[in-house]
Amino acid sequence: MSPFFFFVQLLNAVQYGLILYLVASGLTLLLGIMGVINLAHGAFYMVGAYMAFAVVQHLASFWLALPLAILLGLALGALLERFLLSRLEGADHLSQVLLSFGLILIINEGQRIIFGNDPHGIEVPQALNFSIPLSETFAYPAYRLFVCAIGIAFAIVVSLVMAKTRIGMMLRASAENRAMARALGVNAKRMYLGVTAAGIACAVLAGVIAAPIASVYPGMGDQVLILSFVVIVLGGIGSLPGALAGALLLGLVDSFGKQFFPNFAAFLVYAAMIAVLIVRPQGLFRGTGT
Amino acid sequence: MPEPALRASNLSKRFGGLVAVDRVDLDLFAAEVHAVIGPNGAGKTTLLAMLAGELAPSAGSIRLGGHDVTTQSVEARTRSGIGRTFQRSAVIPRFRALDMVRLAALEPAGLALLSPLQANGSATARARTALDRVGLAERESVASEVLSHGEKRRLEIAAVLALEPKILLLDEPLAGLGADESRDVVALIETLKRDCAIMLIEHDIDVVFALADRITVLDNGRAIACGAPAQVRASAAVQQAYLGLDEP
Amino acid sequence: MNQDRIDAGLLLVLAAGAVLVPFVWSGYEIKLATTITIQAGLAVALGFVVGPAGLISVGHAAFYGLAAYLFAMTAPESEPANVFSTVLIAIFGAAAFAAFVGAVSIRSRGLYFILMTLAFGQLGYHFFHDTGIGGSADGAYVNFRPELHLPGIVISLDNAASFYQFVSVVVLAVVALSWWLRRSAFGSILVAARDNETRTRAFGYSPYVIRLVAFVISGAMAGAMGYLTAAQHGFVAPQMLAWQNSATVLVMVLIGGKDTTSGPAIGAILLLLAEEILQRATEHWLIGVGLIVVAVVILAPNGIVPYLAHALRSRRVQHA
Repeated sequence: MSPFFFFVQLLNAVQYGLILYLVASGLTLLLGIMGVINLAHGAFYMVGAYMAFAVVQHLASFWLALPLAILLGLALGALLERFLLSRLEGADHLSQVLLSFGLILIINEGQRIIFGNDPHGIEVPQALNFSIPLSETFAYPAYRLFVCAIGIAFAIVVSLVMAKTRIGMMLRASAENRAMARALGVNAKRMYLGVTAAGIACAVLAGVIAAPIASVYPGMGDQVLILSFVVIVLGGIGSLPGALAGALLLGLVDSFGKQFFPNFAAFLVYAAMIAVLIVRPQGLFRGTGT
Repeated sequence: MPEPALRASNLSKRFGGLVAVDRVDLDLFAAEVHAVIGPNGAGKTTLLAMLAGELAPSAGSIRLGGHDVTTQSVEARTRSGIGRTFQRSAVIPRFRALDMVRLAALEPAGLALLSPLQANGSATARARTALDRVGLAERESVASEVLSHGEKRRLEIAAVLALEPKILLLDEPLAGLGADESRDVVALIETLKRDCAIMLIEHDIDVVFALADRITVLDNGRAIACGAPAQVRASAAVQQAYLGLDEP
Repeated sequence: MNQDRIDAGLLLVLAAGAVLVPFVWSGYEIKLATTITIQAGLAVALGFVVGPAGLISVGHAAFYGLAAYLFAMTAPESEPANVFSTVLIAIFGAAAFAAFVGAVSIRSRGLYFILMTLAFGQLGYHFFHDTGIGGSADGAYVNFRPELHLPGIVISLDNAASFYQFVSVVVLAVVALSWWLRRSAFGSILVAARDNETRTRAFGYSPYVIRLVAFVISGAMAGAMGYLTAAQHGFVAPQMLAWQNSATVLVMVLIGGKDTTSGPAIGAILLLLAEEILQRATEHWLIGVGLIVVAVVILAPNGIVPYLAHALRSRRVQHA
């Protein structure tokens, strides 16, 4: 196997992993800080992809889709928290599972109503529509590197916010111990609103930047949702660095797994998820305790 | 000297750097009330939790009638004859008083599990006897969560009685009770003494000195005194730990 | 008690249906009734662990689908299968898998249990979808409806009416089992362990063991329903084990209420009938289902039946 082929697979793995990280980060914060299971997270990813499609179709600009995605995501997240999640205050996981499942149905079918059943493709934006040559036979698409760049930038921004700002400190405290954080005066309502809005915005953004690579099709969120759960189990619930590590790990398994053992890759992924839940439920990358 | 019904030797519990219980020995003899007293945070409840099986000791052993039960689970220990009450009354919300005691009284063998709890004659009889003993016979059909605090405490004792334990661990049974109810429960404990070995954690010193045949005093996890009430009262170590407790 | 009457009513309806339906309906209606009855049984199976045992299993469809596949794989190619031998294998297989999943998962608390059952469900889905066993993504076929081999006679289940009667009897048995277990001492211990685990352990019961037994029984019941579905359609596909399927059954339990025997069955009937009606109104009927689910979770989280029962009771108190 050529080293360039290997390198290309590696880049694909990182790129895929970073997109998963973007989606999973919202999911892990919701679960770790608010104790909320949101099955509809994948559906919001799909919303992002379709939004990108609509923006490209009607406004002829992919770049506009990015800020629009963030705005849309923040708005949807805020609405979700204000009108639905807050009604479930203190409710058990069963209600959350069912509510978010109902949302999936609504969002998925809503998408079909608006856009129909056909898959669509989005052209990579002009400015990035070229490949960077790695060797005589291998070239890597610039757009995929752009996706990696966004993912890395996000990771850096997030880690700076978490480590250096007061908000970050409150978020980390709440992820560790919700009751304690509340007792220390963290304003739960505002934080929940912010976390939900930000988390959904990440999922929507991920959908937008993924759209030119994966096509845009009905139900595309389902796969991403389940994989996001694998990511946060591997990385530890509530841990953003863990989500990054878990997502990259999963990206590697996905890329190389599809190449070498396509029949067993997915099966092994879930077996690994179960193994982690049994042996190290706090995640592979965290210390023991909490 | 009769064999102790329960013998805890060198029992210790560490939480990280904190030593909650430090090499404590405790013997419980049948027909005896052994009180464990000490200031808040002395390790009394931790000690009881280890005896009950809720917490695994960091060191030491627990022997029940000669058998080592140190690593036995809570449920196994109950079946071996240890019954306990909880500091904060633990009732099963929607169960009626009679049903909760029936649950304790049930002998879970095969067919008994498959017929309704209410239809089990022997469990019902034992449950009624226990409820009668604590004076809750008329409240048997009331939902547990609706009972008053004092009634809940008595219900717990009834349930524990229905287990027919050889060893009874009572964690502050009088907490939150009024004067009358306290007197009733104290009288109850006196009668319970006949059938089992009792460990009593209690803050009310008068009650302790009235009921106990033996007292262990804990301070910062260590047993600083152990013996008959008069001995303990006179002990210098105890007086130091309880500065201000003794009348001048 | 009100609830007892509803439960008894359901059993009666199932029994009456077994006798009367073939005379009243035919064609499409009987097929729909068959599907609804099977899904009702599946919902009752799941309801048993979600309700009394307090175990939120989002991978239960795996037991349902596994049994269906076991039937497809053990059914002979060129003649009808024998119900008794094939159903035993299917149910036993589902129960064995449930025993494994339960043994591993029940040690975990709430959220982690949910994630584990989700993972196991996906494991099952990918096992049949990716590995090539059982026809992969295309699924597998059962060429003939199974036959009932009784001493002396062989009953063919080929026509819709007799198959429906067979289904009713099996589902009746499942519902009756759930009814019996819920009101037994075993059921009481489960509920006690759910509502105050510490107390229940202090009474000498092991919540882990009790829940595991309940989980295995539930898995077996779900497996029986999978067998029936496979026998009905003659076709099994990996979708049967997918998490979306598990979530749908959970929705049925939600709608009808998890704390009674008949609740989940009523939920299944209501949901499937609503789907039928919505499907005739619009091709986008799933949105209607989604809205129903969200509405029920927010307004009547204990289920429609308990909500109505409660509303009726307070009305009665007001007018008294």
